[in-house]
Amino acid sequence: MKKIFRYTLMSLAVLIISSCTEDFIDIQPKDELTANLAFQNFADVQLGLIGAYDGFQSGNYAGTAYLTVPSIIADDATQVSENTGQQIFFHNFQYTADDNAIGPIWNRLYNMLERTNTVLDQLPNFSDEVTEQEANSVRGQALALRATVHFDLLRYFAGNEGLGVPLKLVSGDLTAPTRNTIDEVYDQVIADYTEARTLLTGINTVDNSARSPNRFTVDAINAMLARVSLYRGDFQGAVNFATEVINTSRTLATGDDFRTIWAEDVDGGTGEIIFSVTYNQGEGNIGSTLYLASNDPTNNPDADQLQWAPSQSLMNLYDQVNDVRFDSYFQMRPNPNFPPQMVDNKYRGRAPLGTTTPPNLQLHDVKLIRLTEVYLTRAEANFELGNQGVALDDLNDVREARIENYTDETITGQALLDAILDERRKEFAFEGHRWFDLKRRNLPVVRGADCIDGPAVACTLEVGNFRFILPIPQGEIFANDNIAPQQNPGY
Amino acid sequence: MKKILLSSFLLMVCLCTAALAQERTVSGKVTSIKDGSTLPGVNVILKGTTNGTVTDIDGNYKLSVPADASVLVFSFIGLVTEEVEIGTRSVIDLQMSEDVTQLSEVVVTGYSELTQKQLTGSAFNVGAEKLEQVPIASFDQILQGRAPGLFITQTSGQPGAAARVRIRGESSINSDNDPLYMVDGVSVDPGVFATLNPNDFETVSVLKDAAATAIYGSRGSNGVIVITTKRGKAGSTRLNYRFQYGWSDRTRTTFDVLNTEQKVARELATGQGLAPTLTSEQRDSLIARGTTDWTEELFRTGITQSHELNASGGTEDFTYYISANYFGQEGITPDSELNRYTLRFNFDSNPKDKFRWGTSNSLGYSRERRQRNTGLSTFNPFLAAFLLNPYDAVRDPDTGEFLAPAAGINIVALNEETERLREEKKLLTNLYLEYDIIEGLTARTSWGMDLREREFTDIDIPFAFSALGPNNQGSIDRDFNRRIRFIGTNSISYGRQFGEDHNFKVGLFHEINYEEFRNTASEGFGLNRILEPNGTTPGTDANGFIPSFTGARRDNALLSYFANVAYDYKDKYFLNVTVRRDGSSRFGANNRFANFWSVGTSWQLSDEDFISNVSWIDNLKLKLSYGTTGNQFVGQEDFFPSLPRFAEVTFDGNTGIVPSNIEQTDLRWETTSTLNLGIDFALFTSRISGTIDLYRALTSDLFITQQLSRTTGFTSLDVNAGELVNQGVELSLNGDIIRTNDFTLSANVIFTYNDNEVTDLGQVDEFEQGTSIIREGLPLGSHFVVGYAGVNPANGAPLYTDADGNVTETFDPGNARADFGTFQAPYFGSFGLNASYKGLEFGAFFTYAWDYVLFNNNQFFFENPNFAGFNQHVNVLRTWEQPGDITDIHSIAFPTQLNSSRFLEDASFLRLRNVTIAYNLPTNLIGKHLNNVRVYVQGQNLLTWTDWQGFDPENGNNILQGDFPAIRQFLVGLDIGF
Repeated sequence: MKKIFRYTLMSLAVLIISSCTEDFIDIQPKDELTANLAFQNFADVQLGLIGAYDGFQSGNYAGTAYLTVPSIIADDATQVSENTGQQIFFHNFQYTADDNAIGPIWNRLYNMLERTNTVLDQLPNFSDEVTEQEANSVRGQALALRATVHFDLLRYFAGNEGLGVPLKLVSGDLTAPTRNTIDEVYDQVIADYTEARTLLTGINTVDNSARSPNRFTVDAINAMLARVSLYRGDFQGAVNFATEVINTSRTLATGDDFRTIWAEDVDGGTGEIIFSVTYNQGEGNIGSTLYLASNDPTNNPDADQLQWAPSQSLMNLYDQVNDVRFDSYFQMRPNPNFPPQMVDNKYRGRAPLGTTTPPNLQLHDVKLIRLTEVYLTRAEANFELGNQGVALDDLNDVREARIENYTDETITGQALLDAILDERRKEFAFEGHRWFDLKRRNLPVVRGADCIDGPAVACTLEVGNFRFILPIPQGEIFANDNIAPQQNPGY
Repeated sequence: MKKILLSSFLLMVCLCTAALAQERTVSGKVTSIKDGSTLPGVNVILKGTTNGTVTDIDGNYKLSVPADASVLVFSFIGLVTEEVEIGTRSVIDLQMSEDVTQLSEVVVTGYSELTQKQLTGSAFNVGAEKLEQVPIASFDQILQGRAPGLFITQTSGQPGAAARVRIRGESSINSDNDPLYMVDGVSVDPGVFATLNPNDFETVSVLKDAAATAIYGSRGSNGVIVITTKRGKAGSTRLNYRFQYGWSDRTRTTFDVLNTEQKVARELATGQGLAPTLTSEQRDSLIARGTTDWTEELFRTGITQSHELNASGGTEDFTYYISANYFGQEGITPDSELNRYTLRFNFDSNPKDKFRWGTSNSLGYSRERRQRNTGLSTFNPFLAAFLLNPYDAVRDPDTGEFLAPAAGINIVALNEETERLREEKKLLTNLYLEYDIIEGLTARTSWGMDLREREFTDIDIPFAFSALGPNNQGSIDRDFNRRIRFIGTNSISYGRQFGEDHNFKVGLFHEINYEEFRNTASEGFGLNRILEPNGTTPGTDANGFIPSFTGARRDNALLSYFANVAYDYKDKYFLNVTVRRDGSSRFGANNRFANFWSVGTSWQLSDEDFISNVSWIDNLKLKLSYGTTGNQFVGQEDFFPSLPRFAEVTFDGNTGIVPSNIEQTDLRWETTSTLNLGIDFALFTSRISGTIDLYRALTSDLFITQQLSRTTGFTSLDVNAGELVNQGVELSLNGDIIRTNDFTLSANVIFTYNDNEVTDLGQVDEFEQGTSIIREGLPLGSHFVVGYAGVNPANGAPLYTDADGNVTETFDPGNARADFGTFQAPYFGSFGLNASYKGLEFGAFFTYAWDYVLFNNNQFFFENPNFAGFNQHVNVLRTWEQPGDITDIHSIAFPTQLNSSRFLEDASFLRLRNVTIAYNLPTNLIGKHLNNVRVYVQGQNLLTWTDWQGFDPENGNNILQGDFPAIRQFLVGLDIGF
């Protein structure tokens, strides 16, 4: 009996010890995916693509920075006394490399490149599981995303000449790069868009949104190529790409079709919205850096926060009675507890047209490119090519769509160019264009009388001032010895 | 090989059986030499064998011994071990005396039990009598001041809140600094003690140096706290009932805030708040409202109550200890409360000669109500008590409706309209089997589990005065989490004496640890009324009531092999060697396993002839040890720091995946190497005894965050770089001042000096962290602010110091300095006095910390003219007003800067932590049915001496931000033994 007991105990001990080998500590995460578990089939690559698109939603990309920074640095926004310090250093031209609003923009854009390159690098492992079309759709969209991010990096962190930004073309690359030239970046952007366009041709990319289109299509890529060509000074290219978009069935939205773009994120089937970043509830809010309305002004007036108001010089450009943009873009501050003040109305929150209080404040889609921009791009490019007649036609088309009882004007020369640029400013207020447009045209920032001039605040930024280019963030300079000597001048 | 082993076992068994053939019986009675009382539970062992027994309740024993048996060994904790020649006697009675040197006191190190004499490492025993019936729910708080090297600060006065426990300073910057806690061989969640009953604890050993902790390998570098719970002793059932009732209050009762008249004047001066908007008539009526004492509205006297019934006893082959306890404590805010119910049953049995088994089990349930808001929030009562204006009231005196205060919120309304509940279930269980294969060779297996389940319920009621949840329709949030820790230890140990002088003991161990964590949280909105949780409204985009459902699941495991060799020569020279190999699931294939080791030696000087002749030295022992331990908690909840991982995101309602971190295959363990030199002594017939330890612990391969080029898509990477050192002196001293039969008076002192210094940070030489800094050459927790130099009497401007120490009116954050001290107090400890006269006992216990600096973030608000819309500290009455005023509060014309040394305060304190007066009723009064009756009164945190202006100087953080302060308690108690 004793023996049996002893042997049982001993064999039990041996069993217990031998069953606990190294496998015992080979544990994989269960609420996170490791690289080998993350990508097991083509469907996972598609998830990676959604992850890449998701990067746009960040407040440091399309969410807030894109809507506010180019407006606040330029002449579209006026600081109000209530401002709690939000982005004032942009307006005052005081930004430095270690400002905590600039680092995250750089970081977010490069993080999005890592997301995109991961998709591009994983795709070949699984592309034989699916049709060529399905694989092309993923690659095409990822390339277009990569081109868009590289181009936006250029707009923020490079000037019209000098150094560009580091190109990032493979995932998992831990090297510390130097900056590429502006031309190298442009070449890559155009190459990526061009390949994407070829890959997506004939593919009806699934648009899973009931509202704005949120996936890259051939139209979206052509529109982007028109924009990039205009920035680069390839005016014939800009005209060609723009014409391809304009010749589709898309039409400029008018009247209530235009108003619903801002109220409900739909364009009445006109196709005015070509590509946008969409938000569902819980995925983030936009535009609160400008004006965050209280949803209950009577009982909870304090929730009402105004940081930046539209500038007088901007509002003065509109025909305030007939221009559909004026009441779409601006409103009198709806909270009676505050003095009358015009505030932004573009990003108050998605709600049926005519609703006074949207249920979800600041829940909106961000329109990354619209048909109107394509018209105005073609107008500006044609003007530069000397084709003033067709340029004027496009300008008149846009104005006709926006302004009731508009009669075509006939203008030429500098007046025509100024009119095209003013039209851009009116059309794209708080849509991420103004400062970039001034910069690429070598125009100064000149703010109106409502700019509070003072020792700390300058109301103009002369052409050639180093502050037309954001500094490479200090975090990058610190961690990357190769880029450290390449900081933008002045910082 | 196996065969040989087996046959030798069998051979041994045969020999033993043969020896057992001729037996005789020895019996007797063991009594105390002091008062002649019988001594139950004394171990009686035939020397050199495992053959033995224990005395019963009447001190009687009976043991079968071989005919040629020669010596019996009698031993009991706290008594001098006696060796008695049997000769031809069959009855041996013995009187045993108390061991004043405590050399036989057992120190539990978790995997073995050593006497103080055998110990080569630094370990400190805290006895049960110091832990019992202290009216604090969380055991770690009770340990404060009880062991040298142990620095404990209370992080919150919320009943059940855990303490911040540090053994010999902090050894890590980014990793965990909590010690490892072992309860009956099971590693338990640090800081989760609210659902354990400290009255069940028999001993608590604090293990500090490598000789003591290397056997815990990768979990040992923060020190180890080993707890054993009470076991039964053979004899008739002993039953105890224990009762406590008490009142708790704030440690600081005065709140130096402005009254209504002063406040109105302050508002007029600063142009802030209500008064400037009023006409003078309205102001007069405001003043006529009088001053609300917000402490009356926000705080209360809490009641503490506990009942416990425990029973122990058993037969010679089966003993048990069972206890049931209820502990209820109300906090000093109306919404802080703990109710705890625990049940413990411990069994030990040796049904066969060579076979023993036992089990320890604790079942617990606790239910805590907590404050809705903590930290820097006007919703936090510990800030609101200062911030709410004296002219405001909770309710309209006429209608009884809630009123909105002029600044801040109506926190009484908020508390009534919300509920924050935390329920915890804890099951701590362990089973061991032990078998003596041959004499001296024992196999043991032990399996345990620590299971903790928590459920948090947060309810904000709909249509509340305080407007809670979307559209003021409230919310209900239920968060469930579960953590299970399994541990299994298998061991074989062999001990043998070679000749007269050589003693060997070898242990081989194999151990697995597995931890699983799960969390599920859901939140719904739009309550119709409080119907949990059905009252929520289905969410739509339009109503904004989209519910949320989130969670987590994380596992980790540790696989270990370790061995320990103990050797002594002539019971004078001791050597202890430990090696441990740990494999952790947290690390990548490159560094999955790591080795730790230690060597400890000691020399019992007082047993050498040249000292044993010195009459006034009773014990003198030197200890020296060196070894390594590790820390594997890279980011405490990050179980997979080395793996490249992906996270889920949502874009337009669709799930996507994105890379979330970079592969870090080379990440490895933080390692601490500790050198320890110790002296144990007992002098003048042990009237003075104590321990002195000197140590130096170097932690290398510290986890440091290294910055990456952002073009990688990430900002940083965790790497092993950096070093820090903790070195210091520990002293524990006991003095028996008077020692007579009727009257004793003793005193004890514990003192620690720990010097912490960061010596290397890798890529950089400092990290700024708000108002503090981690910098090479400085201790952790160093404050980093601009020097404040008072107020310029000419214009009332605040003065600061520049980089060269010159006084300037310019505040420049670039002039911040780091020479203002640290919140990791370098000097700390305790002292106490105990007296007894016949049945009357008195004990007083003080704790202290010195050179202890905290940042008072509260005061920034209480003295800042920009916050004059809220009530303020009376200090603002000293505000500079006209040229020539000499004061420390600057003119309201200047902004108050946060990051200045103005808000650093010396928080060094001396605290009367505990006073107990007890009376043990004499036997002739309590009758024959009762064993003992003890009545007592007790006070906790009775007095505090400090310059600190905040609520309470004990703070687990470097910055005071409305923390829940420690509480003061008065209790009466009764213990009855049947």
